Amino acid sequence: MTDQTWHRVWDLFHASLERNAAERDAYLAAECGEDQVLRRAVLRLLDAHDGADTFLEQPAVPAAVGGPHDDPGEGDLVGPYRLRRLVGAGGMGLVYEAEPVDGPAGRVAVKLIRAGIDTAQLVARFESERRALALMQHPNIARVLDAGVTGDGRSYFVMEYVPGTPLTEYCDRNLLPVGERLTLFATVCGALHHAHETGIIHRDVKPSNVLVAEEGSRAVPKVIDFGIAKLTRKAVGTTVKLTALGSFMGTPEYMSPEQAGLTTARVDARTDVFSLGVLLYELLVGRQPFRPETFRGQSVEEIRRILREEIPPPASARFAALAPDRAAEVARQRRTTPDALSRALRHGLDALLARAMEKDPARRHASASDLAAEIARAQELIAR
Amino acid sequence: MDPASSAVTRLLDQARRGEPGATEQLLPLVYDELRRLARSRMRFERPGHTLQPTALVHEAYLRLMGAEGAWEGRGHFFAAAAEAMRRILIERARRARRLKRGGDLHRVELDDQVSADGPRVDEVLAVDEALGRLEALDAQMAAVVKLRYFGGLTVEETAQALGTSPRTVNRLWTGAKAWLRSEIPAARERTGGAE
Repeated sequence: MTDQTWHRVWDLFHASLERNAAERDAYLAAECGEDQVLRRAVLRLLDAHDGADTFLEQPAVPAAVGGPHDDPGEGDLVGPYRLRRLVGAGGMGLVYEAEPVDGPAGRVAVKLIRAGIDTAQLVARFESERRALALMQHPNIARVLDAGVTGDGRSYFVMEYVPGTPLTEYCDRNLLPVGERLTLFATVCGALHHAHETGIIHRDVKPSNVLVAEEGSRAVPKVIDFGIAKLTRKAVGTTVKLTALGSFMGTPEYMSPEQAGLTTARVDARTDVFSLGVLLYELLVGRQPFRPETFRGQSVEEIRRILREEIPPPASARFAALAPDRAAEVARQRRTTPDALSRALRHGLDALLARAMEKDPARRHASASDLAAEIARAQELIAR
Repeated sequence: MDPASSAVTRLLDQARRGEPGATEQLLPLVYDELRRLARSRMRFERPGHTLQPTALVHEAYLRLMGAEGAWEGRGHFFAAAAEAMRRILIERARRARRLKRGGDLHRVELDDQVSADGPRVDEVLAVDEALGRLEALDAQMAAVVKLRYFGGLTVEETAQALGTSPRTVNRLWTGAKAWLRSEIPAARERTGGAE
């Protein structure tokens, strides 16, 4: 290619980028005339450009210079916090119990976001959301206190530490009956409603983000990780590779269609209502709406299709389909019999769950408090 | 000031005046410093912690030039640093690939590291290979890729290093990415169809 042609290709390329797809063809046809080689060269680059948004955006350094991964451990510092122990690991990173090095003694949870995520963007977004997050003051919400970047460029969030157990596990371990489960769950709805009122959507409601702490003899559910899903997903945004999408998306089980980017509906309070529906389903039936193998090993496309199209069985049907010994165990964990549990599900809970998990947000409960209100009505029905 | 620092000062000064060969002589000095820095980071902090390219380049500059260093010389320094980084990275990427193919012991670790920490080793090598061809076609475009991708510099720093405007850098970067992507078949598959 001559220098002249090379420069001509780039002039046409950049001029095309300023036009929309519909105008491009006509523009190039007019500019290139009979020169099909020129036209094809420009089109090839435009085509590459259209898919190249993530390509090369991450500098090469981490891949080649970073050695095998070695995460910090007990005693190490993350920002001004000394780590005490690792308490959890998830798709986004590791969670530690920690304490501030200076300032009042006390425990916090430090969530260290794994490498490869745009830390600068993450922290900038946190700063822009800090005020909104600070507005949330609720006994059932663990507050996000701080965010920062470690010396080696990984970002972290600092939250109120909750010594608790995931809601589902807590209920099963303590053999809580359906009524008590519903009461705890309604409290969680109240916490989410409060957050929604201040304009914060959780976006990642799932058992591991709803912990139950025991304060005295009281069981206090606390929603953790508020606002973090939004911050991290946005920062991951364009740098994430398709293959890594699964782990970054978190578990698809609790994800609404609009959140998976499948519909044009906006993510709003009803997105959390959907995830709450899935959580409640699991709390009642002991199983998620879809069988675990539904998503396992599936392509991202297939997962999206399921989220968009497939309607899970009603809770009572899912329960009825369990093997007798499994059903008996689920009932035992709720201090009831399979028959009684099945009846409770059919009387009001099936309908309530189906509504919360509607594909179309407009057909769901309009708010988390609406969901809580319907739960209260169902409790009366069941008690009768 | 240690000998390396004064040599760097002198070479930067010569590079600024446009003396031929100054930038080439600068390279090995910056290269050594960056390698030394990278190695000490890995040894004394925690092995495996990812290094931020920009932080490394800035630190190397501060170490060699001191806080009051000739700031106008920074552009030439960035250029040399990016080239040095590229060499270090390619060296390491080749070694990582050998390890990955050779020893089972390291395989899992490396796969983990690669998937969690950024572009794959293979991508780094493929980009470098294609970059050689791009350089023959358009030296400026190739220079932008070196500074941005291998040096980890921002658009503004890249503009400063090349003595041009951020707008021009953006234009060259957009073009270079499209060209490289069209030249690297694996890149088309990997990034194609992502959200």
